[in-house]
Amino acid sequence: MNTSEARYVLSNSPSGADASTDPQLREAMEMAASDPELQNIREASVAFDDAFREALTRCPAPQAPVDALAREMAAHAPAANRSLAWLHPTAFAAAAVLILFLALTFTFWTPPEAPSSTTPATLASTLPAAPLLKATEELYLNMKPAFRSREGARIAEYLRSHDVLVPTSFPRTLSLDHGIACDVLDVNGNRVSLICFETPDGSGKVHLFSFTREDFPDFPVPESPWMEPSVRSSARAIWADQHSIHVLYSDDGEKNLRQLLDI
Amino acid sequence: MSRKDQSTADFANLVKEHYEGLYKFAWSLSKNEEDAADLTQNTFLTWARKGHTLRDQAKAKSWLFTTLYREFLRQYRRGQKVSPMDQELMETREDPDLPHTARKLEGREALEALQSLEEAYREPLTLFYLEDMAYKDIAEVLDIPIGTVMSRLSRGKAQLKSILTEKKKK
Repeated sequence: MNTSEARYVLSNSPSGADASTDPQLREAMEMAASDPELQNIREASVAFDDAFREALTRCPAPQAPVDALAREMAAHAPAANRSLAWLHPTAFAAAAVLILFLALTFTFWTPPEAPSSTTPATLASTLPAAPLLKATEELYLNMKPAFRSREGARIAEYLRSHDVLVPTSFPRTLSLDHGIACDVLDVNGNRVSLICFETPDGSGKVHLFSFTREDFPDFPVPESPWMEPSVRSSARAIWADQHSIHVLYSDDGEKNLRQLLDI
Repeated sequence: MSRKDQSTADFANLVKEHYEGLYKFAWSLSKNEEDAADLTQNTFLTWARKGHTLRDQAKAKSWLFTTLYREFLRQYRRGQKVSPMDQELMETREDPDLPHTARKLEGREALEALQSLEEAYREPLTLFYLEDMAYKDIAEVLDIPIGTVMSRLSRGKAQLKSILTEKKKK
């Protein structure tokens, strides 16, 4: 290392305990031990770091996001803490026994069911474009909305900024102001919007997937909501308006969705 | 204190301890106060959902910064370009009065100076100045080798000084 390189290294290597692990700086420091000019450069460099760090602390962070976070946490406190309860060994053991019992009961005691003639045909079996529903189910099971806000206007702005239509056809009891999160997803190259809502009475959550209708020109979708059970204990309803095909999932099953859709 | 109360108190302490650093890091990355607020808020919400899975709670700080940085990359999906070191920059004799200039900076001016750095330098330098993070922690958060952290810190600092020198001339 020549003096010019040492000057650069001493001047620009950040200060702090970690600096000693930098072999270049170590070499430059060895040169500085017998060169007052290099020593001065290093001292000025350390002084700069201290001064700049101090200047940054004079920039306060706003309080508003902390308040918004506190509101969000208060609204979802039970959900946020629910998982911790499972860490208790007794609760974990009880859950394991229960799951084992249910598995055994299901395996040995449930007789195989014959298809019931009274069971209504599901959309998946009656509509030719079942892949769309299958894809939506995948999205529902794996959803992790990228944007969270409780302001309908900000949700609409996020969707618009990602070049998707903001849905206008909501169930009567729901509006964008009940939104809590959203995302823009991709299904085989088609863009799909997702809006997650808290139901107006705060009892559950529903998730609205909206496809651009012209992306699926052959998909015969009902104009009024058609409902069917879905994965786990959820239920879904599908309908279309002039521009979009909507699939609405309820985490809390058919009854909740019927109330919401008023059907 | 019940388990739930304890958990709420722990969360509040975590926010109190890391909010300012995370917010400023987010602001420096996104250059936008609103995006910074969203990124910070989402990071804490992610912690509320998944933080209990972290075995070593001493690594909470590193986890939070890594999560925020990944979320930023996910939302902004961009490549990082590092320009070759400017020889002119290397040969410039620096202003000996720079520490004094830095001391006189307003907090916002200092953050804006950081924001005007090239992205690849801005990220490690922000963690270094704002959080006093060790090289290995910066490497972990940004997912780059420790040698790269060293060279980017050094180049970033050179660029920062050059920006402040120009600012002073104006």
